[in-house]
Amino acid sequence: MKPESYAWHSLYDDAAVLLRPGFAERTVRAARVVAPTFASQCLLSAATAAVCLTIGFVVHEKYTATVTERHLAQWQALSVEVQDLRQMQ
Amino acid sequence: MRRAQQGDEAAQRTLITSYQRRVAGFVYAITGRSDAVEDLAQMVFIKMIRALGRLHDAAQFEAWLFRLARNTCIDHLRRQKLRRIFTPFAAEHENIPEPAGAVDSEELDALRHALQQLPPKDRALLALAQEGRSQVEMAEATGTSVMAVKARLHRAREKLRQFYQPSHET
Repeated sequence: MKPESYAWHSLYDDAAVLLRPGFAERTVRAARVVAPTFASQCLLSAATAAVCLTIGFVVHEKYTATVTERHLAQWQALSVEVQDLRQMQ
Repeated sequence: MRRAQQGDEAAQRTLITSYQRRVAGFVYAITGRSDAVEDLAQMVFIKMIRALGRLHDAAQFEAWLFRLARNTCIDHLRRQKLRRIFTPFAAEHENIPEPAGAVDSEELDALRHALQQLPPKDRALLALAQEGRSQVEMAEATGTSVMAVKARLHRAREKLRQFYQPSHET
């Protein structure tokens, strides 16, 4: 028998005591919880990126449309002013 | 075994109960930390339950389970090592003494001390040998040749003997 055999035995005994009662039950219950797979995590990331891009696109479109409308209104006002000036001359 | 593979929870519980002592001891031998034993043992068994359906040869179950346990422990130690790069952990934070009562004999303390002097892969090899795994199984578990396992195991045993001194603290 090797000199450390008793120590190995003690190590296993000590480790077994570290597991609280009901270990098997808790483990089976924990295994039941569906763990996210790599594919599902990738899918979630892709969906998040798609939503962010869509929001960015919509916000950008709305902002551009508002600015264009404002500029058109300014140009219109300017052309009315130019016409008025021509008529006065 | 067949019932556990088919998802029978009672059979899975029985399987866990019959192996929990050995897996806990195996994990303790590799990590050397009593506070990590339950979490890691649970992780091993959860992986076991989830992958049990893919095990075709029931005769290979033990070798497969301890390979799973070995890889889980090595991954845990690797993650810990990586964490140390990003967290300002000093040596005294990592080497917090075991809680009172966890170490109850001089021999056990000496073995734990000796194991801690070895690299994790050597500890895993010694633990696999202690579990009665053959050198072929150990080679499969470690992804090396039988000759390499033989040499490494011999060196690990020599080093363990060298560091194993039951009265090193007295």
